Amino acid sequence: MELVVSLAIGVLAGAGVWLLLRPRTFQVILGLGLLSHAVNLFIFSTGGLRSGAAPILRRGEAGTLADYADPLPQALVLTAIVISFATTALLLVVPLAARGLAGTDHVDGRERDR
Amino acid sequence: MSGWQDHLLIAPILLPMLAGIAAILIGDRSRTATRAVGLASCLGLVALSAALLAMADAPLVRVYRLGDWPAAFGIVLALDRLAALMLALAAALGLAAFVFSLARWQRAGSHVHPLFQFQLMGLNGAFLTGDLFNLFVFFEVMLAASYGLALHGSGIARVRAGLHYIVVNLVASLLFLVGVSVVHGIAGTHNMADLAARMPRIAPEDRALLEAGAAILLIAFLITAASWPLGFWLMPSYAAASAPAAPARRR
Repeated sequence: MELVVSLAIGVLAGAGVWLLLRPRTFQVILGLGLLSHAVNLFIFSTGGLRSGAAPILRRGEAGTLADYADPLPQALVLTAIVISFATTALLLVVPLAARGLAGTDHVDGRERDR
Repeated sequence: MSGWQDHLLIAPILLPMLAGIAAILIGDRSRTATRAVGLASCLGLVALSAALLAMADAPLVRVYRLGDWPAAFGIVLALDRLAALMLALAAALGLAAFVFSLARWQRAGSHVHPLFQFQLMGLNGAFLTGDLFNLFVFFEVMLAASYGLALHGSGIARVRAGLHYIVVNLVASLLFLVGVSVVHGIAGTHNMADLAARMPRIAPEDRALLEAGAAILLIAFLITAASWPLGFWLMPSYAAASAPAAPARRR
């Protein structure tokens, strides 16, 4: 499971960084989305990767560290998803305005001279 | 948790928040009322930070538990001398920038006053918080308001610089999250005081990872604060921003 999750994080982060460095605003936005997915997965994985482990024990149940999931990263990842989603939505307004003002979707607001 | 003095700790966050909400509700219906609310909030912040500065000496660290959960589980606000000093600095700069913005700039676009107040709220929260993840949340509040202020007045130069500014800061806040979660994964806590206490007892083999997490945090701070050598993005963005927005954006 560790291998699959770390591969997923790596691929998402790599693709995100590549897209972030592209010259079109649409690609930059997609790149930010992928990067924040990678970061969210990363936060989730810091709580330890276990399947079938409960974060909250039933009354009277004696928990051991082996079958216990840390609930805090799960709460944090929720906050992180909401915040990164909201800021990306906020960002969307700016490329639209730039497209209208500059007439191009290049991140510098003008095409590079060829 | 006793006496009204302890509750003063959260006032520097609540005051600009309420003032910002009031400024949104009043909107453009009465410019005078919006201005009066903003000015009252800025003056109130100066008075509050002076009071907190006077209080900061008696117990060395004053802790305010949000929701009254014990500090290991809940989020705390902490007031020490540094936090009080930074609050006072932010309040003084905020008042000066606000008075300057009254001259002309508010007419260049809408919603300056609420954005300005929310920015002050994020700034004060970031100074007061005693929790690493809560610091991230207040950073985002501050940054979200500053995105609006950076674009204030519109125009192609501002929008272009604002786009760069927002993307750079979004990436920095993602780095911040990575750093926080690495630190949490190793040390098992977000509380800054708890973190300092646990730091010496970290197993030697985990030490390198913890230091890497702290280094990522440092990089995120350097980018958002535009400190050398990561301040390359700052110049175009500040040159383009409207004059009163720029000093307000950073302490």
